[in-house]
Amino acid sequence: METSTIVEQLRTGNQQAIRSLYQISFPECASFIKKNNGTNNDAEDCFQEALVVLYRKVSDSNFQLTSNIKTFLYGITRNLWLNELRKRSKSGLKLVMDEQSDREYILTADDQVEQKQEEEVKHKLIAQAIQRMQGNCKDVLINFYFKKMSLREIAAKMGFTEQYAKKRRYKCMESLKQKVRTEYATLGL
Amino acid sequence: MDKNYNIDEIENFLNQEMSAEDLSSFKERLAQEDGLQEEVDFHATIVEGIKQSAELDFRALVQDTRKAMLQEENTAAKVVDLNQNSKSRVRSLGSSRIVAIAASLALLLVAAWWVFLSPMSPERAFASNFTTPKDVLSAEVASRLEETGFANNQAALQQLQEAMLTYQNDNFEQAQQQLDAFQAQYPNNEFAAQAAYYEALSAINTSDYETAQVKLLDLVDTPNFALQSDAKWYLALNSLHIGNIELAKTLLDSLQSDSKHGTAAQGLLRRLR
Repeated sequence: METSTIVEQLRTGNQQAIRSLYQISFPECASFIKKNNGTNNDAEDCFQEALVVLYRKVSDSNFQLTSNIKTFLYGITRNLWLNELRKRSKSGLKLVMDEQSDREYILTADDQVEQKQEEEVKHKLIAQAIQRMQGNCKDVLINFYFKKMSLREIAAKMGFTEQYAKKRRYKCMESLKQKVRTEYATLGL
Repeated sequence: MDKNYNIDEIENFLNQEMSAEDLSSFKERLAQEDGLQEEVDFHATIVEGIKQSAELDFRALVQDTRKAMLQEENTAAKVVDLNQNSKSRVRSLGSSRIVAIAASLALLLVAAWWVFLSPMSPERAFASNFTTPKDVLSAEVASRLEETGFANNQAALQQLQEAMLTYQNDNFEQAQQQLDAFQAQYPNNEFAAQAAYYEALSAINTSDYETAQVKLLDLVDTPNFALQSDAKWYLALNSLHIGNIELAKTLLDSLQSDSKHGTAAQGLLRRLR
């Protein structure tokens, strides 16, 4: 299957794309991890994370994949695994993928771990609140903020007028904020 | 927090899409206006949470897909083992020359027959072979309900009967949910495997092929399951649909001598080559 086909399928959450990526990339990625002190489970976990990173990137309609998808996925997996090894050795350093080149890695001091953990708790709480939203709110918000679709594209995809899509985006955002504020208050955040 | 903030303005600021003039004025307001900086931070956190929600869904999809792939690999390996064992048993009976010639002739006939059949795409093979099987479970449940001494089991059986009625009415989405709920509530019920089977078929009808795949893979491995060859047949068809042709072929191969699905399996295998 061609890279462009896989990317297109991945954008729509097609399982065939996930299967293809496992078939073409997992053996090589797993081999790298196992050669570098990892187990089979580490390889499974790390590759799954790499797929999530890839999904985040290709879901942005502005993103253009310039390299081969197999090479790209290998790069992400390698980066994630090296980060994990550093985390395990508690070196306090981590590797960050350079957004510009997609290939190069930068070492940064990992001194904001605690703050990050608190943010992660909040993000998870919000993610759970979205999962519980009624009607088309979840789709509208994800299409707008995660997939970076325009209101016109959302309207076309979901069978709305552009005006209605705009209204829904505001209403849904307000409703989500309200839910999250209530949760924050309950949990004392 | 009741104050209405302009979402577009906040997003333009966060996305660095403001003109120099607007940016300067917004920064001034940030320094002076109570609650604005807090709202900007809150908005940024909410947007990040929305992104993570999408990733949460995708992560679940990856996990389901991977689980199905690993189960398929296990099933394929088991079926291959079974086939190899049965072939070696046949060989141990002693292969005579006549049998070899007959087999060769049969092979030639099959090959000739195949030449006149156009190969079929997996998707088409699925579409032209999949039919929703009739409900054979309801009658069994009804007769069990009529039996005495099953008072404790009555609620479970009635729930299952209701789910099967939904299945009979072709309301597959609801049937899938009801059958799933039945298994969750009564995992050790004598009809739990049958419920999983009809849930898988409902899932195929609602295009939820990955759920169907996971359920059918479990059923193929369930000992003493009465509908095992049916589960194998539908797993083969579902595997064709999701693109796991090798597993489908392995399953069809193992069904060739099955009294119910043997002929169809042989025909399908020929068309897939």
